[in-house]
Parts: sequence; C-alpha cells; structure tokens
Amino acid sequence: MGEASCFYSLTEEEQRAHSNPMSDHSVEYPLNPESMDWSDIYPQVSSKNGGDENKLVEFADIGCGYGKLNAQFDKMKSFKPKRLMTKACKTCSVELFCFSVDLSPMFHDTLMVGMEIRVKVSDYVKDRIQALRTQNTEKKGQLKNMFFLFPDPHFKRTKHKWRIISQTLLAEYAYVIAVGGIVYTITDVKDLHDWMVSHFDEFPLFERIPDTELESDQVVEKLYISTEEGQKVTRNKGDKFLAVYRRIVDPY
Amino acid sequence: MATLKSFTCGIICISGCNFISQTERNEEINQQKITLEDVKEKDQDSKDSGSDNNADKSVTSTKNHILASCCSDSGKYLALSDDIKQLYLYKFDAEWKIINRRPVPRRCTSLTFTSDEKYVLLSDKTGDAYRFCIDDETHAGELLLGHLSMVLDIVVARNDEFVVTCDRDEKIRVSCYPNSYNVHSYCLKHTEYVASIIYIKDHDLLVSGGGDGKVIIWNLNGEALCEVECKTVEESFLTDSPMAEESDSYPVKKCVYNNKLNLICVCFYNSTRVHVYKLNVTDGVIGCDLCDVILVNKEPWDICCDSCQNLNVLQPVEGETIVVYNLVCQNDTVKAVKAKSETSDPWVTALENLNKDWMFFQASEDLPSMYQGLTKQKIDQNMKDYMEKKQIRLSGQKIPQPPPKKVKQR
Repeated sequence: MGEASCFYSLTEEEQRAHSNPMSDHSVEYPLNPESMDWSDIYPQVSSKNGGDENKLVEFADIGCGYGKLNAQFDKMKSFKPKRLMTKACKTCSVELFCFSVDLSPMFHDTLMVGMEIRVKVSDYVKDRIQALRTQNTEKKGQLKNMFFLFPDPHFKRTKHKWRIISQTLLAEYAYVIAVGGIVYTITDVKDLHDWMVSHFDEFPLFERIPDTELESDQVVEKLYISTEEGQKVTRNKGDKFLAVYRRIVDPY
Repeated sequence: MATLKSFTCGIICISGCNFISQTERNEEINQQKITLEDVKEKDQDSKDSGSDNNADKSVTSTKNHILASCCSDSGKYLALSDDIKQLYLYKFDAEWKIINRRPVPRRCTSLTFTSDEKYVLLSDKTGDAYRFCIDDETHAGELLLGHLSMVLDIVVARNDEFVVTCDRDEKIRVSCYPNSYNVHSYCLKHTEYVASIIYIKDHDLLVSGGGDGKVIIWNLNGEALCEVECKTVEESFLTDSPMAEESDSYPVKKCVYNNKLNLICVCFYNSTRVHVYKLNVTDGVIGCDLCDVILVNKEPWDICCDSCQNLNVLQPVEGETIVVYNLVCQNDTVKAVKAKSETSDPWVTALENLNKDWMFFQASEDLPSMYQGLTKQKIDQNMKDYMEKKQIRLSGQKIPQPPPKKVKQR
C-alpha cells in the first residue's frame, strides 16, 4: 500500500467514530444530478479523453470510512483514490471518496463512489487528492449496487432515528437504485442487523436475496474483510451478520 | 401568525385559538366565530380531577395557537392543527361544526386535503408526512413519507396521483400516493429552504417559492420550466414608494394562486411587498411575468386569493389588518387596486369590519417569525480547532509517527 503509507498517521488525524447526521453541515454540493461534473473525478468519462460522457457511477459505499471496500475491489495494489468529494446524503453531509476501478479485475470499468459523513476523515484524504464537495449527485435508478457496511449502530433508543437505515430513508435509497439493483448490509451488531432486516422486509420496494443464492456472489466474500471495522471484528473473532436485498418494481 | 383561507362559500381568518368565518348565502353575509375547545383542560380534568393545576392550565391555554389550517376544495371541510398537537376537523353546512379531534405525533407545519376528500394529509416539524381518515376519528394516522429536515408545505397533485412535499433543505419531493414510499421525482434547483408549493390543476404544474428568493415552475417529473428571481424592480411599478433600492432577492414566505386570471401572488420575509406574477402557458412554453408590486405597512402575516378576484393581505397592523385588493385586468396586464374603504361592496365592508376586532388578531402579534428557524446555522464540527492544529503540524517540525492505532470507523 504505497499510497496509503504516505498518509499522516491515523492517530494524528484520528476522527470521531460518529457524526451527528441531524445537524446542518457546512458542505457544498451540486444543485442536482445534471450539474454534477463526474468527468472531473473520473477523467476517463470525459469525452476529451475519448470516454463515454453518459457513463454513470453504479456502486455506492455509504459511510465508506477510509475507503477500504473500494480498495478491496481494486485488489489493494491499485489503491489509488483519485479524488475526494463531500456528499450530503440528503441532509447528512457525507464525504464522498471516488476511486478509479478501471484496473479492477472484479468490476472492470465500473465507477464507484464512497460516501463519508465525518469531515475530518475526508480532510485526511484531501491532503493527497484534490477535493470536491457535492450532494444531489445521483439520478433516479442510477445505482446498481449500494453498500451499508458496519454502519454506526446508535445503540440508544433515542438515537435510533439517526440510523442510516430507516423506514423513510429506504424510499430515498430505492429512488437511486435501479430495479434489479442490489443492496448489501453487514454488521457485527445483532440488534442492528435485526433492525435493518425488519425495515427492509417491511419496505415494499425491496426483497431479500436468500443466503443460498449469495454463495455464488463474488462481492459477498469481500464484504467480510473489506473495512477497518470488519477487519477488527475478524481479529476479535466476532460474528458478522449479512443481509442482501434486491430492488423490485413497485407492487402497488 | 394569523392566517387567511379562502373556500367556496367565503373566507376564514385564523388567529390564536380562534377563527372567524365569513360566508355569503342568498346575498346575506354571515360571520361565525369559533374557539378551539380547551383540550388541555378537558384532558386534565378527566385524568386528574381534583388536583390543583390552575396556574399551569392558564399558561398553556393562553400560549396555544393554531399552527396550520386547510379548507377542502369543495369547501365542505376545514382542518386545523395547533401547538398542543391536536388535529381538528370541521364540516360546513350553513355553519361550521366540529366533527372530530385527535392527537397527532408532532407539531404540524402544513395540512392539505386529498381531492377525493377522504383524507387529510399532515406534514410535521421532524419531516414526516401522515394521512388521517376524515370521518374516522379513531384512525391514528398512517406514515406516508419522511424528509430529513422539516417539511414546510404539502399538496396533492394530479387528482391524488401524487403527494408533493418541500423541505427546509432545498428539496421538493414528488411521491406516488398513497404508495408514497415510491418517489416519483425530486425537483432540485432551489438553493435555500422551499417555503411554499402550489399545484396548478389547469396546467398540471407545480409552483414553488424558496428562501433563495426564487419562484420556480416545474412539471411533475422534476423539470424546472421557468424561474423568476423576486428582486426589486424598476420604480415604475411602485407608485407611492421611495426610490427603488438595490437589494438581493427576497426570501419567499408564501405563494398563492388565482386560477381565473392565472396569477401567482407572493409575499416575503422581512419585506412589506407583495409581488403579483402572471403565468403564461402558450404552446407548452411557460412564462411568468411580474405585473404589479403592492407595498403594505408591515411584513404580511398571510395573503390569500378568494373566489371574487380579490387578493386579501393580512398584516399585523391595528385597524388595517385585512387589506383587500381587487385584481383588475388592464389591457394585457393585471393590477392590484386597493378596495376603497367606503365601498359599496358589502362583502368587503363586512371583511373590513373585522379590522375593528384587534383583540382577535392580537393573539398572533408577538409570535416569533418562522424565518429564524429556516435559515441555517452552519456548524463546523470542531474543524477550526483541527485546522489550526494541522497548520502547526505542517509548518512546524516533523511529527514522529506514532505506533499504528486502531481507528474506529463508522
């Protein structure tokens, strides 16, 4: 990880594990998907470079932290965060890391973004890569895959409304995911797992993919080892709970 | 804030815990004054009768006031919601009678009726929207959708096919109805809170007004078709005004629509002006032109277009609280002409009679403006402190690499 080693020490840059998603964050973001210039982040989609301007980001890692998942897809050695962005995921401001995965053997040619709410984490990466801040980035049905990996459990009952999965937020996720698109969730907290499962199960636009079907999914194995939090749990030999859902057509 | 609502049979003026309805039937004008039943007192009496809560009671009952109101299209129903989180439904049959009351989960920001007049939709301060069955008071309300910030206005569109909500961020969300978990589109172009939204049935369009001083006209697919910046205009519009001062655009407080003349009337926060725009729809091309600017004495509480082509302005001014303007077509444009005080129009005379009842309006006088809560106080998440530390680190000596440490994520 040649790139990563030149980062400042994590201690120095250590960031709180939590950020209040309900407060007004000072972030800038584009007005709407049309005014989002992706070619600035992904030079390969610029027509100047002979790319396809209509190419859209199809993977999103929500709360990506330092972006290990995207790096995982990128086989670690090609871990080259191109740029960093900030996305306010609706009101929550979320840092948005963009990684080039054009070298990735797994998802050749797929554009991915990671989003992170904690601004200092973003600044950490910003020192190496030019920063861009944004919101309202995705069009309807743009995403093929979405990841919620080890989200903040917000254990206290009064803070449940801060959880990244909620009845009303699922409508917003369903809006940006294409029909047939897949949402991956993984956590080491049983209570949070049950919470996410019950919300997804209740939500009419998602259906659960049975675990047996997941065995053939090459993405799943990466999820277990992909993130800092995930690796920590592995070291501690903790449990991990996975639930995967497919976006379906409105049955109404 | 006192408010004015127009309905098919007349007009309703709301202030504090009271409302006055003025209706016309067989050329006879009737006024009816109703006070909300004192919920706190009633509930408390039933709960702990005997205990001495008098002091507490009087405080709550004077403080309570109506937060939102709406009349159904037919003029048959009126919905009110107040500061103690109750939803009241009234039915009109020569006069208003209460049909039921029920509690709501949070303080209400806006109410609307579905076109079929079976449900009343309610948006609240935490960003959720619910629907309540009109006739069934045991119906506790179904959650329709949620925004991440305060929902400021809610309307239904295209004959109950959609519900449209706007919020304190800058979003307008068009959701299917009643399957509102399915988002049809977002209308994204405002850069500040969206205070007010109207659905124009005749043209199947949405009109929104925002804190960025813009009025934007949209189709239901979220495409902005026309945009107007509400700015100070040439002096010629202002007949009795001082010099037109240079200024930024005004933050929109409310938009109302007159469907006979296709007029969009807009009032603003921190401004005494009311703008009148004409909506032009020719061969699918949408235009929106300023026709007139009205200057009133104080920032209006509310504005309302009624069925007799009047624009009614409600302002916190004793003796001149309700001001009636006739909307008059002049050649190609429309002017708002202030109705004369000694008018022969008995309707206007009766309305102006209400201005003598300052006690009624006074209840709304000292309520704080919503505006403070709408503008965002940006927080910096201790970034300043962090940046300073970083600056020192960058300029100063190399900081030794501490041993690797686990970093919490998420």
